[in-house]
Amino acid sequence: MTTILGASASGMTSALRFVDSVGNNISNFQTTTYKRERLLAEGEPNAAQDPQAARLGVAVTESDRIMSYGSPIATSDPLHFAIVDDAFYRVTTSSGTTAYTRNGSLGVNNLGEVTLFGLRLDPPIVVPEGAKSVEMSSDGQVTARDQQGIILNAGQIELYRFSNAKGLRDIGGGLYTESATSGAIFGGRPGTNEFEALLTGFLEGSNVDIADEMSQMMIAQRIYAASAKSFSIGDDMLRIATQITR
Amino acid sequence: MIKGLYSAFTAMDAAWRYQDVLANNIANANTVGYKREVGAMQSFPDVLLSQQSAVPAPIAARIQGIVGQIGTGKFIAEFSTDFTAGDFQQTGEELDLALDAGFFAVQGSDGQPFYTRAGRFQRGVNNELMTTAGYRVLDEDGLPINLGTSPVTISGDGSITAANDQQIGRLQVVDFVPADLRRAGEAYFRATNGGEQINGGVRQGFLERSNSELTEDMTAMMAVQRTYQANQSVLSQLDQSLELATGQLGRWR
Repeated sequence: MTTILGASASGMTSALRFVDSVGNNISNFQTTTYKRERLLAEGEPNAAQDPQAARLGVAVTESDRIMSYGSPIATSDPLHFAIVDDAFYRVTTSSGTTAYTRNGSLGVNNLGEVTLFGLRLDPPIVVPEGAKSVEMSSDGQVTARDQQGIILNAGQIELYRFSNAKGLRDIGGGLYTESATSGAIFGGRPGTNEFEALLTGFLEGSNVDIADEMSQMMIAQRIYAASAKSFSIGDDMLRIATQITR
Repeated sequence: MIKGLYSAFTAMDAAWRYQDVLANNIANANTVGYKREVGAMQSFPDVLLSQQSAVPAPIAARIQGIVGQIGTGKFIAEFSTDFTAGDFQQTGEELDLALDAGFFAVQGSDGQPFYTRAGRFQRGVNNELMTTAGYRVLDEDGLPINLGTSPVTISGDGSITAANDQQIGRLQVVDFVPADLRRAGEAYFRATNGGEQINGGVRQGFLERSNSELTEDMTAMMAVQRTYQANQSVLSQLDQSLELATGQLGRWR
């Protein structure tokens, strides 16, 4: 007899998850390359549903990442490279996993390996011995200068594209790994036919739209309030039921 | 008096079931493609109270005379689905689809199609068009749709075209008489009779929101709560009267 409570509670839980996701998106408004999370409540088909049976509220709430591009933000740093199409850089995480990122903040670690946002490139590019500074052109050609200012060739950065980037598994920190649904993967040099050249001196901003998030928040708040009210009505009805006999 | 107890109890039971449905509508106020349920409380038709003889004969022959009319008072709450379209929300996503009319066909795990207006699809395993829960979306011939790897354009009549202008297929959009659809999940339906394939006006980059009416459902909930309370009072009163009848009236002094 507690189905009203169950349905209402599921409405409240689902609304809370919406508020969580909105909060997460808003707090990452300034995070470079952040892709907003979209939460959508969705039912699942249920062939066995009995028309007379109790209703159980919100069945499934699925989230996905909206992979649209964030607008490039000028940083005036010559080691920042924004990707302007739907490609990814490939890096190796600290745990050794191959991951994909759109964060083009170039650097060199203490082993002389070129890094993006502190993570080693995959395949690795090692700057020649004695190099002092590292540079990259918008077509991904990595060069280094030695003490005398002579330019040494270090390697070529490749970009990768998935036929279904939405299917990538999000492992946090702007990193994604391949999944069963991410589809075929293509590699190529920036600035060639399939891949746009990198944008030097820019980083990609987040794709969060504050106005949209706020409207989501308001809807979730109303549903929370209404579900809380229906919960208390259910509670009251249970109280009434227990008072049938005195 | 016992009949009164029964009738008050069934009314409470129906009110409770009605509240289930209303609470479910409220909880699903943000569920994509959700179709709200509307309810009505009604009583069974009155029946004629008749006296029957004890002779073994067909029932019709046993009736000796009509004594009077009696309301069985059994309240039943009848529910039906409100198929009004929800608002369209623009998302700009490639595989978010909304329909002006009709339903998408989705293959159930038992091979039978489900019908839904919730068009939030994705590229599933093998690039097939699927719902997020992994059910295949069907084309006009009832077959799964392989989207291939390139982005697709879906036109109003449901034709799917790849980036290189290659025709991939056409979505199945079916229209039904509302009475032929049975609820099978929040936004899914099963058909009891075949529908008609139509040009449903597919909108790519849009989703249909829930058609829930928070205010209406909330108001109804409060009214039904009072019905429940009123019947509880009736039940209590009858209980007290019965207590008098059994406890006081029959007491030996």
